[in-house]
Amino acid sequence: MENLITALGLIGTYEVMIAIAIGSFAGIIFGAIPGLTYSMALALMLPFTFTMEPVTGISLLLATYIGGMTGGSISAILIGIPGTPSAAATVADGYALTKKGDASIALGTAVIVSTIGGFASLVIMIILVDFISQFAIKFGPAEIFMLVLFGFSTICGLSERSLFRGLVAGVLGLMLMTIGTDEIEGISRFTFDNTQMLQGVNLLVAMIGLFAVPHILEVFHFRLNKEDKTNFDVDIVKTKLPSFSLLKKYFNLMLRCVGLGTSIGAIPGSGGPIAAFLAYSHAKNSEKNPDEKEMYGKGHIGGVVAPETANNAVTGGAMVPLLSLGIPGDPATAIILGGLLIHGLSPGPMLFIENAPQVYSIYLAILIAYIVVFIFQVNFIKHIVKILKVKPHHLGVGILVMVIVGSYAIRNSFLDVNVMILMGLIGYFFNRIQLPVTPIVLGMVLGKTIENEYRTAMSLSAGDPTIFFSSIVSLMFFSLIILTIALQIRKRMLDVKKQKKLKEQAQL
Amino acid sequence: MRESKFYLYLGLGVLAFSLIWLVLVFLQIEGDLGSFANTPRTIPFFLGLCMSILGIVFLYQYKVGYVPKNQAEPLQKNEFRNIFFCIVVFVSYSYLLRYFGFLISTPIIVFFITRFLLNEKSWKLNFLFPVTITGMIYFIFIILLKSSLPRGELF
Repeated sequence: MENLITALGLIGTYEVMIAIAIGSFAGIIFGAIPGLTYSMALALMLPFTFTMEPVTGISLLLATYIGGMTGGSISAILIGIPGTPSAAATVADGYALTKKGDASIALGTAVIVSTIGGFASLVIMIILVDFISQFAIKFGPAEIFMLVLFGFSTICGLSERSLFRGLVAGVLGLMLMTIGTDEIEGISRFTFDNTQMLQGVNLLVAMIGLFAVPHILEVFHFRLNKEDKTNFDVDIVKTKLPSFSLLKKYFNLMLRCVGLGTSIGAIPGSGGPIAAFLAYSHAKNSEKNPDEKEMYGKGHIGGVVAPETANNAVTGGAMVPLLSLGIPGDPATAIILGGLLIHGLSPGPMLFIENAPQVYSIYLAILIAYIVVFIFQVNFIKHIVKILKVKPHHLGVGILVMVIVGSYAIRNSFLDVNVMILMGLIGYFFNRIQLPVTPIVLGMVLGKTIENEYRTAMSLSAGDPTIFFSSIVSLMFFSLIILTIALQIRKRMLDVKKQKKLKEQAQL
Repeated sequence: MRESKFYLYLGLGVLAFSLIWLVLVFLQIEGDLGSFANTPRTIPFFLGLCMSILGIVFLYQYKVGYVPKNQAEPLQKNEFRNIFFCIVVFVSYSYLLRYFGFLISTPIIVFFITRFLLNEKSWKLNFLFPVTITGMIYFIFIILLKSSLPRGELF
């Protein structure tokens, strides 16, 4: 109770409220515009949180995350293009409702179920984080190493393209984190006798480069070739909240989607899109009335309720491994992890012992952010949709300014700007050759923990590697790693077989 | 003739990168691999090996004739030139920031981008847009959020 009162004092300031309002608004905008992502908004915001009070900075990031997750549905419903991958499942019925002239009710339903999904997952998150932290506090370096390795294997395994491509990106991320001074022995690595390189590759600089620069390069490239992407023509809309009876009708479905979204969000590497599609498919399959079932995909409100509840429930789920174990579930939570570390809050079991008031203020910030996002979307939707009319290269100019200023401001280092540009080029190149960039970031986030815990465990065991298999927890995580990889390889082999069969049939 | 050479190029690229990395592990990090496999070289060396294995896996996939679902997109018209222009803008802006700070460099570079790079003719976009963008960022981060923006050596 004492911690909660302290947290209320921390969160109830003018700066925190402004930060939540700005973060929510920026998140909604970046979430709503196809091509921009809330991960990009988070990466751009992060450097500016350096000089803020920890709670103000973290609140800004959390509000951006929540605003972004909710904002994705706006473009999905109004123009049939999801603003974020998590809103892709909303397109079918959301856009069909717009075509029928029911855009207002679709938007209103999306807003309210998103808020309900977010609130419910917050409650589950609070219970789970506390429970897992109490269990995880007993982990030694070997267990933490195995746990982080498991997180890494799922992240790469579940990356959107394939296991091996995800692994290449993930290993590259781990490699980048070994550049600079070795934290344990203080020996320089890959510095080429450059003193500035001793600091290594800054995670935030890399994130800005990977998430924002490829987008700028793409829109400027199209403009220079006079192949501009068109801006979207959107009619004036209002948000109309659904009736109580409609919410009552879908209450059970919402509960199930909250459970689904929260549990999928808690698995590192899965996230919003998977949860939303599973929820959509569940809603359709669980519909008993054949006439209503037939309506899914043609403008059924259940097709908006299910994915929007589930993808917002992911936010609470994704915070569970982040806060209790220090493992980010997706790029957005990886950036939030970076923000927490910058402000001296080290997520993991000790966070509750060392910084309990800050943890409670995180919970409160999420709660307030959902309320602010709800107010914005209900009252200011007609102004928000105007941003969809702005040409992408004009937005690109604003992003370019934020990118350069942000990466320069981190350490007032010219080298950081160069590293950011280089990472941006890597991101652009990876996009062109269809390699995922998310595992690079996650490799960088987890890299230092993997190395430090490995080396601490090896020092404790005097070089005996059996320490990694000496406890039930380690063995459990090891089995999960093997299982994840085996499932991916099996899936790949089935794909190969299927392709061969198709080829043979084509030859016949 | 294989249907796709994507995995051949990807495999060779990954393998070449990993070999360079492994050489650098021995040239750029002091010490050895250590009897306890616990030195500053251990993890970078292991990562280099992992990358090599991944390169070999891609080459194997090419050998068995696996056609990837997602392949590299073909090079577009003027792509190198356009990307080069963008990089020049990035670097120029960071140099300007270094000497003139945020408030002076930002309107200058935004004007340059809108007028000459994006070829916008409207005076609103050429003059009002740079001032608005600079003012907005200054207002949000300095006045509202009490954060900081880069200061230059001269201003």
